[in-house]
Order: sequence, then structure tokens, then C-alpha cells
Amino acid sequence: MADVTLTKLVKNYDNTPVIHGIDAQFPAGEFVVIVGPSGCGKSTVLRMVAGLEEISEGQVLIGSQVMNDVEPKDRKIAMVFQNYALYPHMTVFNNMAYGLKIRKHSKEEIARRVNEAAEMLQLEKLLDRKPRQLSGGQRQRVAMGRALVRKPEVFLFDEPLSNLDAKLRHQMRVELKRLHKQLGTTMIYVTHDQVEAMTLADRIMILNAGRIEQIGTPDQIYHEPVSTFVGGFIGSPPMNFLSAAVDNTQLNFADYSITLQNRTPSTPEVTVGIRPEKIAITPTPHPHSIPVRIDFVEKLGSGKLLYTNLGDEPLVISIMNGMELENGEYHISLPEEDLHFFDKDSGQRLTT
Amino acid sequence: MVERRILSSAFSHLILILGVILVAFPIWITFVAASHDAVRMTQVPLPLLPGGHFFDNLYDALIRGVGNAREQSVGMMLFNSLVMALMIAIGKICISLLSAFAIVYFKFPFRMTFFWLIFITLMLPVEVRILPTFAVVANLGMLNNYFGLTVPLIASATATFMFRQVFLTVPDELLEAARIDGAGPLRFFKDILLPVSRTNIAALFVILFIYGWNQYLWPLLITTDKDMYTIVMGIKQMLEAAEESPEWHLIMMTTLLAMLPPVAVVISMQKIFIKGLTETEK
Ligand SMILES: Nc1ncnc2c1ncn2[C@@H]1O[C@H](COP(=O)(O)OP(=O)(O)O)[C@@H](O)[C@H]1O
Ligand SMILES: [Mg+2]
Repeated sequence: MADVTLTKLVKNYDNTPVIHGIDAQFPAGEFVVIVGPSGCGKSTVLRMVAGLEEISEGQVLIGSQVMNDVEPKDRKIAMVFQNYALYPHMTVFNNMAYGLKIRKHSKEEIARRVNEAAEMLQLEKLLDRKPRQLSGGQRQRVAMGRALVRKPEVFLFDEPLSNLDAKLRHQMRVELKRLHKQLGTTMIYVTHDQVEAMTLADRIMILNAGRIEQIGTPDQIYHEPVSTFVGGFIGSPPMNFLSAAVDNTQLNFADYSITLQNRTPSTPEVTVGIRPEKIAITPTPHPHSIPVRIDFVEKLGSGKLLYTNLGDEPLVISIMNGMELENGEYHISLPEEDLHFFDKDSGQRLTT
Repeated sequence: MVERRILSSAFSHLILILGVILVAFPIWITFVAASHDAVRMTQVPLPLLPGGHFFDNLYDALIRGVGNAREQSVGMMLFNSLVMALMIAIGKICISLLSAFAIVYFKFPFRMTFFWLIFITLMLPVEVRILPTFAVVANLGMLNNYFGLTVPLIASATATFMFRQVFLTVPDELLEAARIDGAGPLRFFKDILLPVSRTNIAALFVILFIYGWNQYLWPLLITTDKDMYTIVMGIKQMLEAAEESPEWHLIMMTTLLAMLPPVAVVISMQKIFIKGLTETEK
């Protein structure tokens, strides 16, 4: 177990910066998920921690030791790759044992560690197979086993579940979480999938174009997104955004307005965010309700998604089962305490 | 539909059988000629069915020797050819593996320049540079020995290029995983890269062995000592026996013997060879 610290971390590829100075500290034993859209630099950050990518500026510390010039093999890390990167000509056993053999562990020690990892990952029966004789999920387990036997201080994962189908992905997610509980090792996990981020993480770091957008627990990030980017990225379906003008206690949308009781955004022009599940919908009007026309209903099994427009801005409403709904006229209300206010131009969260 | 399938299948079989006959007939003739005595081989029409002197001829070729004064042993020539072909094939594979490894996995100044330099030598086979190469070999005192026979043929742009392509298909993550596991460059080469390109190496070995075995012009230049003659040269020389008419039965026996090692290599490596040419999974 070791904590990981990034200080003013910069990466340039041929003088083009792709990581613009990242400062973060991940306490020992935490499950940290780095999440962001494709191409934002997640892998680059992870690979700098692993030592596979030169650090252009700044520092990576594991424990209290600066790692910039330390070889990957000496960083006490283990990494799991998206395409597994198993050695194709070696058996499962040898795939897991290879690193230990190089480190000249004794035969008994190697066998003991590999069997222990195999048991943990239910690979005992597959030890003599070659990678090509395994399914995707099994290969993924072997890749994890290879990381496990090293007994690293920090685990690094680069989109390890992206090549699996949805069901297996869910299953592996649960297993990973269980593994983390069992081992208590620091884990840094990169993904573009916000569901993985929300379900796995103790702490999420959201990257946007090489900069940190927000670091926080899943709850903080979900309930207090610091920007429209975070609100729009986390949550499925994402947060709704509506432009509005603030006039004293009046919040004026395109062709209707609501009165704010307790909150006043500090700028006159704002973007209002609201989560789809926080919008209340009824067939009949009530005070402060807004009439909408539901154009389209999407059934998810556990609930429904309703698609409509307010003015010319799209709005998605998420409801649980139990309410019978057809396309047609309804009334919604936007609870004041569930509104998020963002600066219209910068997209940054406004205090109220 | 069914008739058409039978018809087309019969047709393709016909073509295949014709092809086999076309390829096999000369070999059959060689075998037949090697089983008759010298007298029968001077009479017309030439025999189409095997005679009874196969083992006599085999004895002559391997033990008594061939040539004007029975001074050349086919066994010696086979051995020379074998050494030459093996040295060329193995030498070429070792050198090209290493140079491809350097070009793909190491960043050094003028990396691409070196690659293109190697590539350009494709345009300079031995036949083109034969005089300067001969001069170099002669000055180094390598006439009439195995090194003179093989070293100038070993540098190989084709094989280097091929291994480069093979290495480029090995995913980067494999190298990275090995680095994290603690493997240095040579360890990675030995433990990962070589086994992964095993089938390609076998395929190339077959091709290069035959290339080496079939060398004619270069051994002709380099060897003057009869003990260094290779089998391909030897056959040609037996044809040119000055005073007498060529001893066809012995020539054909020698030819038959000369065909065996390449055939053995192809058959023994066939499985991996075909995998090497077709397999894509890494
Ligand atoms: N070897 C490289 N050379 C140049 N640019 C690169 C290289 N690797 C990655 N990049 C660029 O860096 C950015 C971040 O890449 P990456 O970290 O792989 O993104 P992510 O993992 O978040 O999808 C991308 O815009 C990508 O084009
Ligand atoms: Mg990536």
C-alpha cells in the first residue's frame, strides 16, 4: 500500500501539450478512478505513473519516493491493459509466473503465489491453457492474476473491462470491488465509462482535455458537479441544461418562469442544470407547474425515460415504473433545491 | 445443380492431376534413369520403367565416387552443400532477427537511414557485386572454405524486412507488460519476441535453406579444391566430363540425392511453415 502524488504533471508530445499540469494526491488504499471522454489524456497520466511514458514536467511520487527516473519494474506497480497483453506462447501459469521468475523467486514461492492468485480469481483449472484457449473474461482474469502475484503497492488499470460484453463487465466490476476490499491496495483505474467510475470509485478524478475538471467522491461529483462538463458527463442519462435569466427572485426561461424562494445565483445569465430523476411530472396542473408535451417514451424495464422540449431546449425526465404514461400533455415542476446553477459562459458552478 | 457440381469437381481434379503429372514426370524420369546401368542409358528409346541397378548406382555414387577418375564422392559434396545451406540459412536468420530487433525497438540516431541502407542492398544481390565481393573474400584468405562460401551471402535485406514487419505486428502492450515484469531488452527478445515469431522463423528457414542449397555461381567462383565442391556444382561438372559421354545413370542418382535434403527440410517443417505464412493471431 502506498499513496500516489502527482505534482504539476505535464506531458508534451512533440511540443504539443496533452496534459497541462495535474496536481492530485491519492491516499494509500483508495480506489481512484480517472474518467473522461476519449482522448482527454487518461491513459497518458496512468502511463506516466507506470513509467511507460516519459514525464515532461512535474513529478510522480509513489509513497514518498520521486519516481520520475525509476524503471517501471522498480516502481512496485502492476498494470492491467485493455487488450490484456498476455504472452501468447506461455501458459496461464507461466504468464503469471514470468515476472516472478525474472525476479528470481524460488520455485516454491512462485508456485505458491500463482496458485494463491489463481484461487482468488477462479483460474485453478485453466493454469495449463494458452491465452488463445480462453474466453475474453478469463483472459481478463489472467491479466489481473499476473498483476496480483507481484504483490504491488499500486495497481494500475487501463480500461480493463472495455473489451467485455455488458454482463461480464458488470460481473467483473463486482469482483474488482471485492478484490480491492480484500487486498486494500491502492488502485488507479482509467475508464471512459461513467458507470464504472461511479460504481467502483472511492474517489473520482474527472479529466477534460488534459486538465482536472473535478476530484471528489462519487456522491460529491454527482450531487455537486463543479461545471456543466461534469454534470453532462456523469449520470445516465446526463443532467439537463436550460438557459435562464435571473431577475431578482425570478428565474426566467424562454417562455415561462419560476420564483426562487431561497437561492439567488450571482450572475444574471445562467445555465440551470437538473437531473432527469429530480423532475416531478403529473397529468394535472398544480401551482408553479410548467406544461410540456411528451414526444417519446423510452422503456428501460426498471423505469421510463420521457423526452420533451422546454422552449427549444431538450429535456429528459426519468421516472420509476408505476405511473402510466402516454405521449401527450403533462405538467412538470423543477424543485428549487435540485437546481444547479452554472455560469452561462464558463460553465462553472455558481454559489447561491 | 448436382450434375454441375460433379462436372466442375471432375474438371478441377483433371487440372490438378495434369499439374501433378507435369511436376512429377521429370522426377520419375530421374528416378528411372538412376536405376539403369550406363549401357542402357545410351540406347534409344530411353527407359520409362525402373531397371535393376538402383543400389549399384547408389553404391557408386556414395562409396566408389564419381567423375573421370572416380575421385569425387557425392557424400562429400552433399555434406558441403548441407553445411553451406545451414550456415546461410541460420546466419541470415540470426543477423536479420537482430537488425530487425534494433530497428523496431530501439531509438537511435539515423535509425531510418540504416533501415533504408539495408533495404537498398535488396538491389545488390551477389551476382551484381560479384567482382568486388570476390576480391574481398580472396584478400581475406577465405577462398576454398566454408566462410568464403557463406559469409557474403548472409546479409539479407529481405529477411530483415520480413522480421521488421513481424515485430511491428506485435502489440506494444506486450513490450510494456514485459517491462513491468522486469524483462530487459535481451530478455524480451529471447522470451517473448523469438517464441512469438517462431512460425515466421521456420518459414524463412525453409526458404533460405533452399536458397542456400541451390547456390551455383558463387561456390563455382570460390572453390577450386575438389573437397569443397557443392552438389549443385558437382552435377554440372559431371555433365561436362570431357573425354567420355556423360554417365547419365550416375548423374541422375546424384540429382536424386541432391533433392533429398531440401525435401526433408520442407516436409519436417511443413506444419509450422504453413502456419508461418498464414497465421495472423499474435
Ligand atoms: N505517442 C503519441 N504521440 C502523440 N500524441 C499522442 C501519443 N499518445 C497519445 N497522444 C495524444 O494524447 C492525447 C491523450 O491520449 P490518451 O492519454 O491515450 O487519451 P485517453 O486514454 O484519455 O483516451 C490524445 O489526444 C492523443 O492523440
Ligand atoms: Mg486510453
